[in-house]
Amino acid sequence: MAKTYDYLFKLLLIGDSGVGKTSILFRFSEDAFNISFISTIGIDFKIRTIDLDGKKVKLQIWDTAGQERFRTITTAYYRGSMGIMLVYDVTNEKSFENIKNWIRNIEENASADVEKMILGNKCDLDAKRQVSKERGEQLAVEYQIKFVETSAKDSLNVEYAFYTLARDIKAKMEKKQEASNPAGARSGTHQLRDERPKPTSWLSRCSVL
Amino acid sequence: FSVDLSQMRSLRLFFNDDNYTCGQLVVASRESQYKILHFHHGGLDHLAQVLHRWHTLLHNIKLTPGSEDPETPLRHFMVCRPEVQKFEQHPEEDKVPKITPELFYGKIMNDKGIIEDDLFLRKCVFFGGLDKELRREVWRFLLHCYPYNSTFEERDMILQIRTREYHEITRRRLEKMTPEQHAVFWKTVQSVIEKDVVRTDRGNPFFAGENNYNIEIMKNILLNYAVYNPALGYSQGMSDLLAPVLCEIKCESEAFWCFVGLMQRAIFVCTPTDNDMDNNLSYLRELIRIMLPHFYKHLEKHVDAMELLFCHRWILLCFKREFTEAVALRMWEACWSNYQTDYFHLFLCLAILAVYADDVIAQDLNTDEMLLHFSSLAMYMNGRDILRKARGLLHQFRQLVRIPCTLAGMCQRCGPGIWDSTHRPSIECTGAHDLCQYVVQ
Repeated sequence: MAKTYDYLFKLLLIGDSGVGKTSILFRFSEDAFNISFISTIGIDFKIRTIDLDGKKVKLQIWDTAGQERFRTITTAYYRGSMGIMLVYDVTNEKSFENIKNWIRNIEENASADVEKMILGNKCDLDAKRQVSKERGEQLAVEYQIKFVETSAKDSLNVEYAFYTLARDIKAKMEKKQEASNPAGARSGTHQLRDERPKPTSWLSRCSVL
Repeated sequence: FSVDLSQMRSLRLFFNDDNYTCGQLVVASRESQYKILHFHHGGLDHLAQVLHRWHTLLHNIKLTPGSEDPETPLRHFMVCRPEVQKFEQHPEEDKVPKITPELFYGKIMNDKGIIEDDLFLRKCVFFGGLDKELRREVWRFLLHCYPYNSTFEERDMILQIRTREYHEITRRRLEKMTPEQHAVFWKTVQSVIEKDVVRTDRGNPFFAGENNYNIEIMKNILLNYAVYNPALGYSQGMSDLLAPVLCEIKCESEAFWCFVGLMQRAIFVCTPTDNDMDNNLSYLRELIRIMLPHFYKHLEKHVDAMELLFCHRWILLCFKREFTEAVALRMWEACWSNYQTDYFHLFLCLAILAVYADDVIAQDLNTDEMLLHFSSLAMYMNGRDILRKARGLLHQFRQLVRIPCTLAGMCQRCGPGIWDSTHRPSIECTGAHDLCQYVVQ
């Protein structure tokens, strides 16, 4: 049977318990939100195929408990991952501080060139906010990772975040392919590279949103 | 939602009532996305007939020479009518009574309050189950809140002592911690518990609504448990195990002690160390190898399938998210009865696979697809059949002439033991690990 996609990307959601990982996934895969979510136990994934510059990209997005305690699950979770969403809750200082620990966790378990992005979720709850947008941006600069504030509830920036991460993975992948096969891939990927944001411009682009 | 039928990979019908009229129609796309249509009030049987005719027609067209169409969207059509045949069942199935108040207070408990034959009680719980109104009474025995052979007076005394002990633990938590200890406790335990209790069983009227005081009680019990057993502390999933217990037991300190019994004596509860989970999964792998060889072959074919990721949640929450509450609690009670095995939860896993994995094999689903397949079945499986099948599989296991040494550990505990006096299988070394005590010299 013909393949129904051009690329398959495995993405992960990572972050403290209760920051909204499952809600973000639910928003992206089902375009819905449920206020009374249950805690995630075990491991789960959802699939959504998106169109990126004329290519069908199948995103397989994995979700697990914030407090995952089983080695087998952690290993399986990180295995083959190409992109990671690091999620914190803007109304929860601790979840923000823990992003550093999660990054360390990624360094220990995921491959070195995995694409990352930081999401400050629940930005609709402005009255309860504990972490300013500036601090999120600052942390992102420190780690050279893209950043955006999201609201799974109000459907704010969730699409943008996944598209951005997917686009970066695709660009990196095509760059690699081009390097290993310069003759064949040149015409196809040249245009794509032009569309890529320049590394310095991403921050301003995010703050526009 | 909409479903693109040209992208359909499989169309499956799952019946889950005894009359075979209600259930689910599950459409899976080639991308392994599942759409599920529920038939709560019958009619699925009619749809099945129509689809059957259509499928036969489609099949016949395909068989006509020259009309081979490789792009025929439908790869797989299946009607799943879980049915556990008589020969698959435990021979004592339907022969053991359900525990009713008359049976319990009239026969099982004597006039001093002692349960003389706890094996009979446990056997009834295992096969027949328990009237809902007896849960509070019987669970306190099953969860080791107090012993079976205690009298009414003794139990009153035990409960008094335990209430005092419980208050002491609360006091320790609230008054005896240094500010540093408190900061650590808040960060590692309390903040996680607070996140979890507000999203545990809120659909249950007992925990529903804003500012529900029972959520506060659930929180206190979990916090106190982390103080009582700092080695275990709190891990996610515990609130899910506590909630139904609290809902039935009602009293805070008694619910706490039942929870202690559940956490410390139930084999299916996995501690934060990997060992418990690893043990459970390696037993399950061996059980699959011996009892479901076709499925085992399927697992061998696919990379990383032996990790059995799709079973993790089954084991961690003892099927709470796989079945509706009434059925899940029947399963919990059957596990707590420790009848003939301490590992009944693994036989329940095995039963799910026995009933629902044919489809996995037929579609040749890979590791990731299997995870999706089984999570798409959650809440739609027929739990009563699974229980019957599991009891049958336990019986079948107990009839084996030989078992591998890898399963010897699973058969060691459990009161009088898993084997009755007439039959004891020989244990043989599989050669899979060094220093096996069962190696034939």
